[in-house]
Amino acid sequence: MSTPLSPAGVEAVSRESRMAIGPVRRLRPFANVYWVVFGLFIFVAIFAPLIAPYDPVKADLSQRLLAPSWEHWMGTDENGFDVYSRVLYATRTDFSVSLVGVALATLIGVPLGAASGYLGGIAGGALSRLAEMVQSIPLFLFALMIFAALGNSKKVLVGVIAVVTAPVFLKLTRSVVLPIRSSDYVAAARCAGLRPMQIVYRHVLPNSLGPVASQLSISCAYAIQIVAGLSFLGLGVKIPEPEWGSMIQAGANDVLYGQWWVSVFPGIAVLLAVMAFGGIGRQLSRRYGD
Amino acid sequence: MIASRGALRWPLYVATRLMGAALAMLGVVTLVFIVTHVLGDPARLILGPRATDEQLVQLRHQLGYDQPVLQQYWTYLGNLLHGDLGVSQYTQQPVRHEIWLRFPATIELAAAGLFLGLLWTLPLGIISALRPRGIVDRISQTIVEFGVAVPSFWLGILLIFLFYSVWHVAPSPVGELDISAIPPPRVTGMTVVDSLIAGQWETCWSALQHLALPAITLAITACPPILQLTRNSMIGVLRGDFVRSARAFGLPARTVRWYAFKNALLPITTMTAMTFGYLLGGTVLVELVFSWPGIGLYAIQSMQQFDYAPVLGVVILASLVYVLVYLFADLLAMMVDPRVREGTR
Repeated sequence: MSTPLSPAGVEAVSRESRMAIGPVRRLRPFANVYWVVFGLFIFVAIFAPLIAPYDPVKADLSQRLLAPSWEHWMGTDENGFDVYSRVLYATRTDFSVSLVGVALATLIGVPLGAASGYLGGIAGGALSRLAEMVQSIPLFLFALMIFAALGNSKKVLVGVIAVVTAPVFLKLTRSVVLPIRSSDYVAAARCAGLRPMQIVYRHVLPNSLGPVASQLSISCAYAIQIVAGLSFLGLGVKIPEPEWGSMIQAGANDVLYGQWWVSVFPGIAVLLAVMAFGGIGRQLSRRYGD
Repeated sequence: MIASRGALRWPLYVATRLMGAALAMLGVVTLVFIVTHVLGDPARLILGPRATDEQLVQLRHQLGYDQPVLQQYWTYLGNLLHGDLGVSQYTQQPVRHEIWLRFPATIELAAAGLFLGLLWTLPLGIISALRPRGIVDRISQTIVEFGVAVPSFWLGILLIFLFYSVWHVAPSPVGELDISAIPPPRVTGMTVVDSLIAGQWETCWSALQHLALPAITLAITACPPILQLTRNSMIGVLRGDFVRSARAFGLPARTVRWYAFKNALLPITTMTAMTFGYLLGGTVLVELVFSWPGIGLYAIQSMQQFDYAPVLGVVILASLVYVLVYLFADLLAMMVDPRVREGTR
C-alpha cells in the first residue's frame, strides 16, 4: 500500500477524499441519523408538491422580504417567493443533478479504472495519469472553463459533475483491480480460457463494489457542494428554478441589512444533505474495511 | 555502502519528479486546449447567440480559430511558453499583467487562511491523538465533519451576518481596505505586508480587519483534513516501537510527545503544502462573497463579461501553482526524510 509520502497517499487526501477522511469511530445510533436525514430528503424530493404550501416559482411582489412567520415558515425573498417551498422543491434539483452526475461518473470511471488496473503497463498508467491531471486543475476554475467553452446550461452542469468526480472512481477501481490481477483465481480463469474483459466483469469488478458504494455516497456529498457552489456563481441552474446555491446567492445582499433568512435556510439544507451523504459514505467504508 | 547508494539515487529521484511535474503541466495545458478549442466554439460564445455567420467567420479569423487544430495547438503552446496568456477582450490589457496585479491578494488570503487553520487544527489534532475516542477527539471529529460539509460561501455569508450586521465588529465585507483608508504604495501587492513596509499602521489595521472573516472562513472549511491527518499520523507514531522504548527508558511524557510529533510531522507538512496549493486555486467562492480582489474574483467577473482569455489564464496559472506546490512537497519530503532520499520508501 502507499506510504504517507507517495503521491498516491497524498492524493488520497487532496480532493473529495476530504470528505472521507479517516475511520471516524462513534456511537452506533449516531450513524443511523444520517440514514434518517437522507430518507427525509428523498421523501421531500418525491412529495414536494404535497408538502410545499406555496408555488415555488410564483412571485408575489406584495409579500417581499417578510421575516419567518406562521404564513411563511422561512420568510420570503425579494421577489416574494416563499423560501420554505423553494427549499423543499430545490431538493429535487440538487439531488437529481448530483445523482445523475455521479452515476455518469461511475459509468465512466469504473470501467476505465478496471481497464487501467487490468491492463497495467503504459496504457493503464496513462489512464491513471489522465485522472490525476483532471484532479490537479482547481475545481471551480475548471468548471468555469467548461461553462465558458460549452455554454451555461443544466446539461453542462451534469457533465461537469461527471467529469470532476470520475477520476476518483477510476483510481479507486484501479487500486482494487491491480492486486487482484495477479491473484490465483484470475490466473485460473485465464487458464480456463476466459477473455480478459470477461474476467474483469465476472471476477474482478464484483470485488470493487464495496469501496465503490462508499465512494458513491461520498461523491454525492461532494457533488451537492459543487452544484450549490456553481449555482451560487450563476452557473448551471437558471434563476427561477429553485436550487439551494442560487437561493443563497439571492439572499447574499439582504444579509447585509439583517435579512438573514433568504440565505440561511437553503444553506442549512446543503449542510444537512452533504453531512448525510458523507456520514453514510464513512459508515459504508468502515463496513467494507477500508 | 548505503550512503553512497543514497548519493546516487537522489538526483535520479529529483529528475523523475521534475519530469513528472513538467508532463503533468503539459497534460493540463493540453486538456484546457481540448476543452476550449476542440469541444467549444469560443467565437460564438464571445459574440452571443445573435451573431451572424459573417461576424463569426471574421472573429474566428481574427483570433486564429480558422487554422488547423494542430497549428492552433502549436501557437497556443508557444504563446504559453513565452508567458503570453492572451489579451482580455474587456479591458484590452494583457491577461498576464492583470493576473500579476491580482494574484498577491489571493496569496495573502490563502496564507492567512492556512495560518489560522494550522493554529486550530494542529493542537486539536495532537490532543485528539493522545486520547483517541476521548471527549476532545469526539468534539474535534464533529467540528471536522461540519467543516468539511459546510459550503464555504454560505459560511462566509453567515459570518458577515453575525459579525457585520448583528454585532458590528467586522468592517463591510468589500475588498481589502476601508474606502477611507489610504492604500499603501505597491511593493508586494499584499496590502497587509505593503502597509507594514510603508509604516502605515492604520491602513494595516484596516487591512487585517478586512482579512479576518474570509481567512476564518477558509480556516474552517479548508483545513479540517490537516486536523484529521495530524490525529491519524500521531496515533500511528505513538503506537511505534521507538515510543514504547522511550517510555520504557523513563523519558518524560512531554519529551516522548515531542519525539512523536517530529516523526508525524512529515505527512503533516506535505498535507499543509497541498492545502496551500488548493487554497491558491480554490478560493473562488470566498473571494466572490467578500469581493476580495484576487484571481478567483477576476475569473468570475471575466466570465460574467463573456471575456474568456482571463478565465483560461487563471485556470492555467492555478494548475501550474498546484503542480509546483505538489513538486515542492515531494522534494521537501525527500530533504527531510532520508528514507525517501535513498529510495527505500
